[in-house]
Amino acid sequence: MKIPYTTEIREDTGLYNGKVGMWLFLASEVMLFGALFSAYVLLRIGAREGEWPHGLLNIPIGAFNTLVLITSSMTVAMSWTALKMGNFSLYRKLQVVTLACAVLFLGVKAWEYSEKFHHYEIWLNEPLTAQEYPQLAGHSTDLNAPITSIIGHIDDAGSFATLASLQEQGKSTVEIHPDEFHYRLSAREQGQRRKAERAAGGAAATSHAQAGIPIDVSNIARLSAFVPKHSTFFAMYFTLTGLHALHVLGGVLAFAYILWPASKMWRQDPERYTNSIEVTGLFWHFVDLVWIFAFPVLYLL
Amino acid sequence: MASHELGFIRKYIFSVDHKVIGVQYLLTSLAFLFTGFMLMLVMRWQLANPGEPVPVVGGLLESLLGEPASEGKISADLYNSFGAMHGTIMIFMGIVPLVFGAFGNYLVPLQVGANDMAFPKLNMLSYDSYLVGGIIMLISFFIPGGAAQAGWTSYPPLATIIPTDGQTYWLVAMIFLITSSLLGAINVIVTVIQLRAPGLTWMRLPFFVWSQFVTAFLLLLAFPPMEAGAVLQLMDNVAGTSFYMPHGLVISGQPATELSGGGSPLLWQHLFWFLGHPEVYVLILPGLGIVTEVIANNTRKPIWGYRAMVYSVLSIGFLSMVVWAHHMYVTGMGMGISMFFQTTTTIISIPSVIIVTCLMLSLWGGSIRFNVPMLFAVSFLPMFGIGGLTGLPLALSMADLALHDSYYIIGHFHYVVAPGTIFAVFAGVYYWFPKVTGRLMNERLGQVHFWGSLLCMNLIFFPMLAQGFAGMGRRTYDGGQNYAAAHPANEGVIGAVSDTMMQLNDVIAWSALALAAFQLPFIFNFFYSVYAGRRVESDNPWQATTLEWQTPTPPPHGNFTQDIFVYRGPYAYSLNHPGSEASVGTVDELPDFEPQNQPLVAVTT
Amino acid sequence: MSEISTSPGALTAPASPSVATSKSAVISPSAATIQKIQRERKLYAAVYAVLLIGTVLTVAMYYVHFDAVWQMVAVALLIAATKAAFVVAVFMHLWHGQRDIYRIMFFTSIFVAALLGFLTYSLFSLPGSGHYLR
Ligand code: HEM
Ligand SMILES: [Cu+2]
Repeated sequence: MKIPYTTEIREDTGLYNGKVGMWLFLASEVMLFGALFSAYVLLRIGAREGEWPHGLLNIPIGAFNTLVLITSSMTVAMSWTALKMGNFSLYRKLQVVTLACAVLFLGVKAWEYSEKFHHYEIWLNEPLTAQEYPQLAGHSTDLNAPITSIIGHIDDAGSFATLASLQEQGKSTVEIHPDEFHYRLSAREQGQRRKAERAAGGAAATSHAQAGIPIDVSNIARLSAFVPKHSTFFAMYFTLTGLHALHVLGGVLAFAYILWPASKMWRQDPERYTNSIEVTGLFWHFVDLVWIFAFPVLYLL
Repeated sequence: MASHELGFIRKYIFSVDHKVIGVQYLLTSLAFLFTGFMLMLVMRWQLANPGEPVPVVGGLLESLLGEPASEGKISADLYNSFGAMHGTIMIFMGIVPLVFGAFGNYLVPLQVGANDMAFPKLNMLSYDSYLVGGIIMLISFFIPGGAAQAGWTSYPPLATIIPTDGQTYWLVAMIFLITSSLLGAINVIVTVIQLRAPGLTWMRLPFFVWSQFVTAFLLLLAFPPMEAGAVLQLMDNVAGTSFYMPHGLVISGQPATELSGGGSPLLWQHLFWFLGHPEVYVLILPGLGIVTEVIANNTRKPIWGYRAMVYSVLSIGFLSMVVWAHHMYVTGMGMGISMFFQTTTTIISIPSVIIVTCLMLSLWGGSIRFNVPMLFAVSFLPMFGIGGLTGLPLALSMADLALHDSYYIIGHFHYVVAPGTIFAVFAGVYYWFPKVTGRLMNERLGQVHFWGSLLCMNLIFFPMLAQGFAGMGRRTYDGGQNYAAAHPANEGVIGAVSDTMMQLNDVIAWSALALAAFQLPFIFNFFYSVYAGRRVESDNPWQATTLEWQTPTPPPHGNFTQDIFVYRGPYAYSLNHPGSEASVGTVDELPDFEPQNQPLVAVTT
Repeated sequence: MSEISTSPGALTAPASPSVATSKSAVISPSAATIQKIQRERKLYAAVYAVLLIGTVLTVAMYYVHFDAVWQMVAVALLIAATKAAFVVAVFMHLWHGQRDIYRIMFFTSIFVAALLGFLTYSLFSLPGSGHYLR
């Protein structure tokens, strides 16, 4: 039994089944990610002053990943034209590039995640000021303003530590190396400060070299790595990018399957093979599209 | 065709044939429907007799579930679990898979003259995903703490702070169920767009196919936002985020310190009802489709206003996506939004009324065959009518402020789904049974089933409307007894519940029991007739016009044995009616109908 | 009972599916196809360039000063939307008229817009929200 229009095009719609099916799936995906972005907007606008961390993501890395994904989209589109021309070896080369890009994207993402997991924010019971600790200058533009939370690395805390886990280890103080210069201030403020410091003749401080500030564990109100629990911002960041990464993974599996195990179809039914690349390509471009929106929304705004 | 080569497993368990999958869906969802009904039976008994052990099943429940059912009584927690699972099972695991998975799967390819669904393997996957979701949902009864307790709507923060993993199971299961619906929806839409037989233009589609087509779009576009919502709630449950947890939340007097803050309970309600309202049309539209087929066939008349019905169902499909916040009037989301949603909600009742009116008018002047499917189909109309009309006051935000979360709501939507959709399902089962099995179901048992069900359904749900008006709230495990005792009616307190209203709980409980009893003839009839029902004498026992009757009985793998070409619309009945074009010569000799694929007859003038 | 069956061809209905019976094992594109595909490739390269520029602009925007946050949001989304439009139109072949898909995506976008719009709007009715955009 053969189902009609799996390969050939139905006259009155101008489409074959797989394409209609994929577009319908994409329509549902648009609703899925549309809902997530809408949720993001609602939570972002609804957040109270000071509750939404900003600038905690690594912009150059994000931009790099954008380029990687865009490139893979282009190679997918090109590989389809290669098949259309009957040029299988060109197709294969392009798809290997696609897969390499996709894997690179996932690798970078994983690295970014792990990077987040050992950055910490400490909320204090008794605020500090930059007057006392010059390392905190990047946390506030006013040197006398009370600083209620500090962002940075904690020595030998590893990843995922919490206040409870520190207490369990019997620690009474922790040492935090403020990392705010990368994070707390906006890029523009950072630039201005660097300029000012250079004008004043000093070398611009680099964050990781900051001397540690000892903090009494009893003075910690809350402590969290940059994990979903840290804040609604990170919750959204991990949910959105995690779901997106799953989609990338799905695309990788599909392309790899078509490229290797299923490639004998090229000899039996080349039209159908070409279609499968077009259809999977549609999915891939959509995944790219989601990232095109996710990057500025999460990293920049 | 090649099916005899397949072993039992490939043929019946991992089948890719849309008909087998349809039957799998049918049996599974009927079983779930029965489970959900049993839960409610226990609950209704407990409501009528608060504080007393449940007879017969009480001990069984205690040995199965332990502590929450101690002494055979339904504790408040267990009542909440049962309530949440009743709603979830009925809606997501019962009715939707039944009307869409079972009827849609079996009939849509047949009615469009296709040899299968467009993507048979996806179809199988859709059923598997449904089964997995259903099983996870059932398992959650037996975990420590029991199943989800926050209602089928699962509003956070309540849903998140109840100390049971049941909610996590619920969310995971929902993701499977939603995936299943998505796959099914894609399949149905592609099948209708791409696989219609030659000559089967859009306006020649049976109304049932239209209703399934629109339903599929609702499933496709309304479910994903809820899926997103479920993922966020899952994060709240397992990763400690607070998407839905408002800032400064205090739980039992303790501030919830580890919450990162900044979440919004309103967000869940939006995402849930964005699915939730289209979902109620998913429940009813296929029912309307089934009823239309049965009515056309048994009045032996073309459906009056077929085109109007098609346009109505399309407008319902569109409008139902933009009415969701009428479930949220009391959240304080703002006047502007309430106004908008009140308007769209009032507008959506217009196409609904058009469809019901067309069906009513179709009865006019027909020589109606009152067989069992037709009895169910005809009684569907007033029952759905009551359901729809009771919805109108709810559409107006001012009236809804009083009626929200009262038993009136329960009465409203049960009139639509219980004597509405479920009657349509019964009509469909009796009507298509001979096509699926080659045998007819017993008429007499069917009559008992019908009259008993009709009576009991009304005895159950009509009192609820009254109770709701009187101020009885939904989701109270003692049936409002404590509340009524605290606010005696004669003190004139607004919302006080009088003794009469409390006594209605007894009426409801006994009627529910009777309703259960009246399902026994159906269950017996169903299984008995599969093996021993009267054999059909032809492939088309009801003398119907649509394409599913133009196949062998039961249809083989690949469905049709001839090439299908469609020459006419779906309801070419009453052809020998005096004055009809085709009535020439001796009226009695002509059949009064023409199947859609029968070549044109010359019209001699 | 007189019965004259007219041939299906007399009706305006889609022709019965023409199933390609001969399964050619290779694709040998016609001259017209080759020309079409080559044009397509140029288009893809152009879109790729647009996407690269868009990404650079997006990042550059971050270092530009805006008076209000909403202006920055507007610019960022405008750039993203432009990039998206090119991807959808060219990479995803929507450029070549595909009526049914237009319809599906048209309604889908209405519903997404409704969701986004009402979620946002319902928040503004709550006190204290929305300072972000100011
Ligand atoms: C035809 C016009 C209809 C109108 C105007 C209407 C209106 C409403 C409104 C405004 C509510 C919210 C009440 C509240 O929670 O305060 C509601 C609840 C409900 N309606 Fe309808 N409805 C209609 C038809 C239907 C249909 C066809 C179905 C299902 C097949 C249905 C099923 C439900 C359900 C399940 C609920 C309750 C949800 C819950 O809170 O658990 N309604 N209806
Ligand atoms: Cu509704």
